Amino acid sequence: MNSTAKKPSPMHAPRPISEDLRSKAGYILRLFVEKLGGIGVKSAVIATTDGFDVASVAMSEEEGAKLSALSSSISAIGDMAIKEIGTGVDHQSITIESESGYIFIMDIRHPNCPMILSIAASKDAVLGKLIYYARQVVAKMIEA
Amino acid sequence: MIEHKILFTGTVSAGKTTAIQSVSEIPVICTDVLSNDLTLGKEATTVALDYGEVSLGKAERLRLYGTPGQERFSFMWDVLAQGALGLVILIDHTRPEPLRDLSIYLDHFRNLIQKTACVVVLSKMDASRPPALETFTEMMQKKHLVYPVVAADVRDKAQVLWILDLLLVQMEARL
Repeated sequence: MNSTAKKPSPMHAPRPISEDLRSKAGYILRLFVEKLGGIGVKSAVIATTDGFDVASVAMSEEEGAKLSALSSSISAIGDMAIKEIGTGVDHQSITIESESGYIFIMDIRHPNCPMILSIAASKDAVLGKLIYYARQVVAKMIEA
Repeated sequence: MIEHKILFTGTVSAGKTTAIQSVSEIPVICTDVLSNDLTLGKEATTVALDYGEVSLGKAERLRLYGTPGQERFSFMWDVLAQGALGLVILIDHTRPEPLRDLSIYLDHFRNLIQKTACVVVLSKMDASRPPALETFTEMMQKKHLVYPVVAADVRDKAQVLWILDLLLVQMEARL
């Protein structure tokens, strides 16, 4: 390998996420956070399954990269658990609850680019409502 | 039955998952996903952990854990290091700066290494290409870390067992 070759940015994979997919993901996420921002949704990221940031809303680029990598590992452990215990093939969602909030992760089974939606919310969030709208984000992203 | 937790870490595409697969007696549990990063030069990459087991005689069993290689997953390195009794650092010798790579893992796992045991393994090594094995040893000595550095093909079960032996010798010496 040529050591002088341009190093990839740590935030984004060099491929195959198109700018088109990025901008659609950004648009869909912004609408979601605008709609649910009043009820506790703080920030959200869409990441590739290997943990690269595709689009994020209401967080710095560093935070987006961190939540992307964390969500990728958690999601992979979810799939591993489901397979090992024999309750399915892939996980669909994972909820982490703390004393003050939630992280909610959902699988986006895009045909060319499998992704993950990860949402950070405070305890004010109504989980049922959050999941309802998160499913819509996932459905739109699969079409994107 | 005495069980020890051994951790495999090191650069992307050095063969951490492969090493565990070479010796594990159970189907290896892995968290490989499709890689979007073309610079890694491979289709799939570990994002959480690998797990396998190997017994040594009737009395001892090793639980083998593999970390993701990419540094952005270093939070998993800390999670997996808990309770480990030995560390195998695999370095892909064909990468542009293998010495710098090794330095990252030595610094990150310094506490674990000093408290337990460590073997550094150079994989995919072509002895005619620099840096030589001794250069790695010298670099470690400068950091006051005196541990074995070997070149190995981790696709070969016998060689991975030999690496584990190098760890166990150190672990026994500490008892």
